[in-house]
Amino acid sequence: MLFNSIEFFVFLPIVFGLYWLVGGKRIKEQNLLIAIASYVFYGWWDWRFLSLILFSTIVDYSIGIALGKNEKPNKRKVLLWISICVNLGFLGFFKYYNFFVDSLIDSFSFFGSELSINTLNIILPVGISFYTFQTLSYTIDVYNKRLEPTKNFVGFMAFVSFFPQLVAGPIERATNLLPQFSKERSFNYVNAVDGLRQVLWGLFKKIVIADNCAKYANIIFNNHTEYNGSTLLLGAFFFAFQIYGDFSGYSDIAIGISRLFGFNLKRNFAFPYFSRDIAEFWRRWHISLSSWFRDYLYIPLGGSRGGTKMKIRNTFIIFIVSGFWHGANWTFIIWGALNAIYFLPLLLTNKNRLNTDLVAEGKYFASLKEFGQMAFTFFITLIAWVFFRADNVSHAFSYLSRTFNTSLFSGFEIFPNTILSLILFFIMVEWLGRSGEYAIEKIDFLNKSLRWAFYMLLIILMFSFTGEEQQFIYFQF
Amino acid sequence: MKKFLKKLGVFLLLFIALNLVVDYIYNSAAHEAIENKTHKNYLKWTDIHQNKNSYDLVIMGASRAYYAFNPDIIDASLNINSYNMGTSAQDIVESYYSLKEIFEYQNPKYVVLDLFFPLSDNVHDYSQIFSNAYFFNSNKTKFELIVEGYGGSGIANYILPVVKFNNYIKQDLMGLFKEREAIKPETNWIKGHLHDTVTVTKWKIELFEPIPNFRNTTFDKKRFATYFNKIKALIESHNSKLICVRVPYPPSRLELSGHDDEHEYYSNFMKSVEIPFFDLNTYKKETYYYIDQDFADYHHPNYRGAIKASKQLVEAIKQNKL
Repeated sequence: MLFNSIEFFVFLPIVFGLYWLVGGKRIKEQNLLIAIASYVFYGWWDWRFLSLILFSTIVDYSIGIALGKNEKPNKRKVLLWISICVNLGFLGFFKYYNFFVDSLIDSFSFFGSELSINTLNIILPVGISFYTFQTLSYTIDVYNKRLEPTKNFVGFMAFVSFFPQLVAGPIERATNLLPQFSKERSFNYVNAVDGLRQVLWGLFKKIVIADNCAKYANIIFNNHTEYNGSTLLLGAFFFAFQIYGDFSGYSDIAIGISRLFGFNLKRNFAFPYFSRDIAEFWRRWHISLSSWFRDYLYIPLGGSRGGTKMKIRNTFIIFIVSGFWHGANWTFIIWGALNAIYFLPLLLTNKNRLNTDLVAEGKYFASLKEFGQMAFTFFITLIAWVFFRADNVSHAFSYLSRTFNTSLFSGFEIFPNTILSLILFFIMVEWLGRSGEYAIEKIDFLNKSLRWAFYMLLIILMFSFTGEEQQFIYFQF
Repeated sequence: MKKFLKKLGVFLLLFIALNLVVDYIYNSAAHEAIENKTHKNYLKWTDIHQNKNSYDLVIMGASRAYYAFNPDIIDASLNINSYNMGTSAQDIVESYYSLKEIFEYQNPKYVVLDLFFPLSDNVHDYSQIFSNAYFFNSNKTKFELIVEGYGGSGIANYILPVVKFNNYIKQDLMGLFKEREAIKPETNWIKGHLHDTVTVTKWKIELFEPIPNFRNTTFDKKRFATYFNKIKALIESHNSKLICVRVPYPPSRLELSGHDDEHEYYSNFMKSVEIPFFDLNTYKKETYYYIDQDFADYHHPNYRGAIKASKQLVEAIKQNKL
């Protein structure tokens, strides 16, 4: 079920109504309702894969209980590895099996011998990378004694399958979300209104910005040999806004809906395109994944505590794994490696935490220096996005080589005024609202009529500029 | 909670009010045209409903079809009674349900279906679709068109004017920033055919873009095949004959286009389902040679083009003994 589908607009009010009808004091019943609703939500796509979520839930719940009862380090380690193997085993099979088989066959043929292994016609279960990481975080935190194992199976089931963030995040830590399933939830007017507002903004990002940018990004990327350099650069620009609108839009909707149900999810995007360097960009882009890798991979590997070699190794590992998490394709690995290359000079010169504050805080305009830094960061991100979007590595290199030649300075062959005006409007709203959790959080400075007129404007724009409905990009991850 | 629901209610009321305003703005002209008996779809469906079992040949398709085929020329040459039931932005699903309605009142010997990729893409002009279905007498067919034909999206578009008229609102919003072209009144109708005397200007010819292909449209092969087979079965069940055509494009546009995906796809598809298909861009090209001046714009033949296209259709039926 897509957030921007009609089915969801029927599903959400029903679940919302039943949830608060049950009442905040009947936690068990509310959790059960969330679990059932989440399974319906997921099963709408393909009910067969519900068994995977259920299995993952049972395994991690049982291992959590066993870890709580067991103090012997060796036994605890075995239990942890069972959880890691089961979870990553599913992920590896569904997401990476064919990639490894193909790569193995290619390697053998490179050395002149043939290998005969059949690839499988595997459907990738939607959201598997997200809920796998979420359940893994639970087991690791219980193992590290950062969290008490839960004995509430229904609550745990609801935590794993919580429908607002089940298929595309934010990847919630058990330490943040799981305790919320044991607490009494009361309806909070301010939270609910704020949640709805965030949902509205998320839908605008997805429907107006992402889906319309997708149309042009697809045309240009799919026929890149027919366009000049400037148009190809514009194609990458469209993709940059497609992926941002798509993914951050989903996160806004997920966070907003959760607030309607009395839950607080972690922020996932913090205006990443206003970053002054790549380190800042990675603190602002897909925060839940970056911090997951930081806490469960980078720091256990030694982080940036060791010598230069170790820093370089760990940086490459974390970025490449992050790229690989997105998909079984060499393009994602190169995308990760490229970001590591961007990041390393800052890390090695200790300048990676130079820009931790908000750009041009309290001002309407950025300084020329800040503007230049933002433009440069956006530009190098754009180049990396080409690898992310390309069908394969040679497509990406061909795209870039056709972009950066003399035709870069010729006129655009495609220049959709309307969509570019909408992007400009979007950037302006995001810039003005960059001190909030999301762009229109602090819209209360407008009086009620202006505020409502703005909401109506967003709704009209959504209905008028509905692009061709695209699935959320991150569903495939 | 009460305060929240109250506010949500007020917001919904405002949204309903917005829909009513949009409905009033964009539907009032249509209601007026129906009252004055000048609404093109009203006139077409009235002819179909009132002249029971009188049409031997019915033409289906989008505006390209109702511009291209003049029933007077067809009737004079074949000695039959034909009618052009092409409607604006008619897509393959709409063609199927329109035919269901037509067969309730008519028993044509031939059904001519004009094909081009936008006939089955993922972009639907719901205001045109519902403006056509509005005149169906059968509520069952109307219901099936909305629910089965277009699913949830069809229902939402039917209920919410802001969704249904989104293209028009968009055009008007964009029109705030640029000069709009005057819309010429369409008054010269001949048995469902629009007799258009406008000729495309040189300036507009320079703005021509390639014809529809797999790259510049979202042509949905599966959707096309599903509904084409339904149309075929429906026509065969009424012992009628289906003839498929492709209305010509201005030659300057064809020159821009390179590989002709439409021609190749439809030729192969029709061969596989054994349905006669005549691409009027190429059929008897030596006799019916089109020039840009045979068109009113980038894809609608004017009265000169319509004479050629109608004669081509007649010749195709005669020569192939259909």
